Amino acid sequence: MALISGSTVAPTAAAAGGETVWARAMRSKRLRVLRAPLLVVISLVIFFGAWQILSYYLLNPYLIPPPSRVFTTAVPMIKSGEIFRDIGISLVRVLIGFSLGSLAAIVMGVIMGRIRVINELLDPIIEVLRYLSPTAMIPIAVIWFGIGEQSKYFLIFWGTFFFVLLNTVAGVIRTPVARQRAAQCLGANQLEIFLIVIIPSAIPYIITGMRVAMASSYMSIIPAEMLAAQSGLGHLLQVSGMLAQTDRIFVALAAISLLGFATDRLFRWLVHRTLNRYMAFVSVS
Amino acid sequence: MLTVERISKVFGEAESGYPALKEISLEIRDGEFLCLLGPSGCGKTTLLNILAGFDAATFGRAALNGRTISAPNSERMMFFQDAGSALFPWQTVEQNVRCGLKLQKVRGPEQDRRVDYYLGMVGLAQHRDKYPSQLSGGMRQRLQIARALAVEPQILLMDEPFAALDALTRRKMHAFLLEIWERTKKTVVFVTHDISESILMADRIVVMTSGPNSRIEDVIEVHFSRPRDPASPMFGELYGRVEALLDQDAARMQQDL
Repeated sequence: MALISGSTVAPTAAAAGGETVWARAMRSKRLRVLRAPLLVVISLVIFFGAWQILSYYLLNPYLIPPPSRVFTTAVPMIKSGEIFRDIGISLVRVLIGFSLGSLAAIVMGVIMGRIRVINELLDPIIEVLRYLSPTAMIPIAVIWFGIGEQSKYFLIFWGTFFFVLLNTVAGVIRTPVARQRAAQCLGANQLEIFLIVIIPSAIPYIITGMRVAMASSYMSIIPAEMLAAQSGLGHLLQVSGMLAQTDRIFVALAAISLLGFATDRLFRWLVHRTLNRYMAFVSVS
Repeated sequence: MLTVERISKVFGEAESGYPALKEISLEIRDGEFLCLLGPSGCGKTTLLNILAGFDAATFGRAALNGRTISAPNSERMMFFQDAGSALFPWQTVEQNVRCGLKLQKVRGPEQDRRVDYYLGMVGLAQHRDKYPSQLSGGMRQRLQIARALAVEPQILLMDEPFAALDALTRRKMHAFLLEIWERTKKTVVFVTHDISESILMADRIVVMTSGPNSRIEDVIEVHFSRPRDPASPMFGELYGRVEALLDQDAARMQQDL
């Protein structure tokens, strides 16, 4: 009943107030477009406002330097290039460790996903080792590799490897059987099935693993540099902490979060540009 | 001729495992449209997998023109219900068809000709640059048919290919598949648990019993000409006969319990 009465009423309503309805639609559309950026701005205003209030009225500006102080501390660090040097050093360490870790994990993950006996042999070892965080590995890494760059590469590698490995194995194992069999019927041999079916099917999983690993890399580079480095953002944090320079600590923290955010965005952009067609899952039938 | 010679299939150990099929024998003529009909779990798919070469029979053998089937081959194309996972979602419609031809080492102008011909046949020529995710369920199944036909197999093995489609699309696909079959004269082995579908499509219906130890209950010839009208008395009479066979099997299962 409701449907029938609705359809008879609708034309008169449209005739009477067609323009208003159109104008209203336009207005709401404009609002919808503005909604997301507006919410980001509001969210940032609340964040900096709360920061300022906490700093001046609830605690004290020494414990929580206000946004303005952090900014004035940052300016000379930016001008002298000091902050960029630390950012650059940390970034290079992360990228090298992350790339090596991902590469090794993908190769091994593909083999483990494909060859059952290797999976069964290695899985128990991985299940035990993956609970050792990169931080836990710092002392032994320093003994093995010294406090130079190699120990940092190793620690980032360690923090990357297991995330990418487990996701790669899952992606390879979850390649639909129908897709492999279809390729077999079309005449693909084992190597061809591997290259044209299994690897592409696993790409979405591998990328997800790499994104998680990227975040983990940024979490593990900081303690590594705090405990065993003479440079990098973690070192800056450590030195500022020892000298009780809270404003410099805040600059370093801001740099770390911005750097991580920027790298993830860049990574997603690269994936979108190069691997987008592999990322589309087709739902079941 | 595709022959099934006293095939038995046991999953697991020969004595303790699950006996899925028991001494199935069948001769499938060239160009025939054969339906395997039976309740779920009766081993229809198992038999189809053996015909495709994905799975080996425990006893007996399947053979094509006298040659024992031991591995998948492009002369016997398997066709899956879930086109979304059978297709390559990262390739366009055209690339999906081309991929099979590349694997068959069909190159150059012949490759282009076949891509155009079979995409045209299934009505996807104007969608050639789309990705499978941009197609409807019926279009994806047509793409799977085109990709299969392009390598020019002798036999199409179809495992409930239209079961996941809505009723209207399924009807269209039935007519479409019959038309393709009449044009190409391929042998089709079509697995289904839908009595109407089997009567609508098949030259012969192989009715299988429930597992374990599935066997062939009866083979029914469907004589009347296509297109077949589900409302016709002949259709109804045959439906009743097939249903009686399946009911008989279900009653036997009840007794065994």
